[in-house]
Amino acid sequence: MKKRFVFLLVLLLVVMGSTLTALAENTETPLGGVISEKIVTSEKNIPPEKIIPSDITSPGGIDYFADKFADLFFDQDKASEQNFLISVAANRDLKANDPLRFILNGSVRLDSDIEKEADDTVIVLLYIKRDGKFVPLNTVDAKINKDTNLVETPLLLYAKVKLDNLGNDKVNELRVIAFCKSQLKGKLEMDKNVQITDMKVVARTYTVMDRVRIGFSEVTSIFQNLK
Amino acid sequence: MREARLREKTKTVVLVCLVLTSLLQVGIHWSRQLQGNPFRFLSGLFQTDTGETIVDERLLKDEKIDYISPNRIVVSDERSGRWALALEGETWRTAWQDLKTQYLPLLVTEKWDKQLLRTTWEQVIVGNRTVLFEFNRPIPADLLPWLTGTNVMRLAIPIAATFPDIEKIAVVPKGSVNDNLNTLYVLSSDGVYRFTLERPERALQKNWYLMDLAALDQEGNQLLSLMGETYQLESALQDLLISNEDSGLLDMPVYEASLPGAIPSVFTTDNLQSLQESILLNRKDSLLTRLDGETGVVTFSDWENTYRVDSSANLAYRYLLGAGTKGTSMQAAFIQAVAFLEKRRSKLGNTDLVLYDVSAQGSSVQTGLIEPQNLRPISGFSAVLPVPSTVLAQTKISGEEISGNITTGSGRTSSAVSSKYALSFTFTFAYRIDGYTVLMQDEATGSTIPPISVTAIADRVVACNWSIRTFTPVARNSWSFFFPSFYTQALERFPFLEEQGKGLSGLRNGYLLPEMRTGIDLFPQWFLESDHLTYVLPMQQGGE
Repeated sequence: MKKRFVFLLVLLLVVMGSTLTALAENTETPLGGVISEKIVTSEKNIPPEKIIPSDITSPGGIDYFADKFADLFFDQDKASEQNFLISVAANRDLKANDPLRFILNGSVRLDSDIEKEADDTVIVLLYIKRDGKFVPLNTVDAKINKDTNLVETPLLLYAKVKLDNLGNDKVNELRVIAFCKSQLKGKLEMDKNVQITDMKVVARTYTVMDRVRIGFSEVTSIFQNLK
Repeated sequence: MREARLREKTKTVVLVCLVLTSLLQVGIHWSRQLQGNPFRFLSGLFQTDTGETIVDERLLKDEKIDYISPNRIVVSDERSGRWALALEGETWRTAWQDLKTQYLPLLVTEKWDKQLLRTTWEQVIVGNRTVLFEFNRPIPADLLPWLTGTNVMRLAIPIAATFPDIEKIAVVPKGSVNDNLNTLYVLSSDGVYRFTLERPERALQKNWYLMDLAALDQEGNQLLSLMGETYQLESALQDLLISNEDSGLLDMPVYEASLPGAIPSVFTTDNLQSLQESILLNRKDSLLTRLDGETGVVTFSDWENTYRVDSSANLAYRYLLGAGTKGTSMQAAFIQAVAFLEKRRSKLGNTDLVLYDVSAQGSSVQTGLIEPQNLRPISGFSAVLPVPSTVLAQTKISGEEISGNITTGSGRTSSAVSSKYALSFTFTFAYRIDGYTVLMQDEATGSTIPPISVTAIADRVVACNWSIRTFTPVARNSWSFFFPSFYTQALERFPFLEEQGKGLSGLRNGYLLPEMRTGIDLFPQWFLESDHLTYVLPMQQGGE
């Protein structure tokens, strides 16, 4: 009996020890074999509002600064009267078969009065109005800042986007927000160091013949791929 | 008596020996030197060709209009699509053939129906279906009659009175609803001229100019955009055509620039015959030849002419008596210039040449010295000899006095003047290989210049600088054509491009030839024009 009791006790101790080992967290084992437990705090344990991105281009940076300057960026009654920082134009991407694909081009104005630091760049944020609200308009096929609505450039603006609405009666309302990256350290003010340009872009449908040609080219490419 | 006879015999023998010896000496000298008969007046008795003065037009190109050629032909729709036709492709040739044979002659004989400001040019090419012909440099209108084979004597209005030159021509097929009328806009240095022309019988139907744009795109023609519709760079011309396609590539060969077979790489006294035949033509026996062993430069000269060729096959010709004071028309001088080149071109590589620029030489009445532009003096003497100022002060040509230097047809400014007469004209030519322009880097100044310049008057050529090369394709690659990539590199190299007035006014692709090197590969280049100067930037290979 005593033996059985001892056996059960030992079995219980072994099972408890195995369980502790299996469920224990990782610890550093310094030389000498002394294990000191270190509590590692995961990011999810810190409230999000306490994480401040170092840069608008770092993860979470766009959302952070958009929230910070939301009153300025998304006031639908306010827009710049002049393009004093950058020029912007929207043209259909003729190489894409999708009529909603557009290219936004422009350049930083040479005569801008904004003080820039050496090697400063211009940050351009793209938004499109959906259901009465401006939401991010992500770029397409971007090599830098992929899948974001941010374009950073020292001089020339080039961004491919896909609009929402097709047809003469459905205008796409875009908002382009531009400011020098160095200005983020301080206060952003409309028409002083921030340019907000609203654009209305109409994506026209193709003509019937265009549809025929596109269809023909797609069929041709299928046959070529089959070969 | 006997002694006297012996003396006489001795004298006779000595005389005979002397005569034989002198004949022997003359024969030795004659066989060792490279020149022929030095007495030109004697050769003149036996020759009908007096050198460079008589022009045999059979030597010239079958179609004289081929001395000019568009740098680019662009087809555009009413919106923002613009396609540059593949150089020397079938569509390109068809379009150019139609314009040069059917419509250019009409630009000579017909008057424009509307004149507009230069600033309206953008309105012409935006919002209209157009086929746009762009030229490297403005073509002086004074050359059009000869180039198009038009008899100017029957013109009611002299050509120079209608417009001074042609920078670009836009064919607007929808400019008139009448199928028998075609509308052309000519961009000139002093404005835009609209011509509404009756479509010639042999001209293409107007529908041809309404091309299938989807087909153009699928054929791989380059898609271009206007600067004013895209980047709107303040310093650049807004009607500049650029590529806005980030994956855009241009397929261009790499060429080897080498010496033609007629020119040896090293000159010796034994191997100059083919060079003489190619350059001196039928006068190869009448010019004195001198070979400088140290510099490797060979000089052929007489009392009127000097031809100098260095070891890099750079020819410099000077007519030592100068341009004179008679004056010449641009057309007469141009005929002499192309004849000079055509007589030699087939023997010196047979590469196509195309007119690049034209300038007129006047004179400074104060100094009396004629200073031709675009002439690089070769060491030893100036380009032309000075003319006494008293002669110049009294010179009047066709009721016009010449004062100062006149430049015509260069750059895009309105300062270009169509000079009907001048003391001489300088024509510069570029090589043209597969439709691409080849310019040269001047060794002394580093500037980018055409490889050939010819100064001529009505009677003859008075000066020529010609870097003689032949070109062979050695490889074919794809090169990045995306404007932002190019402009980023251009700004690093030429930061002044951001300054107002010094921005991009022209942009095209071609090749650059080093003046003093041969047997090297030529890689595709960007030619940027800014403030009337041409700069060069290497193209980046696609995918870099």
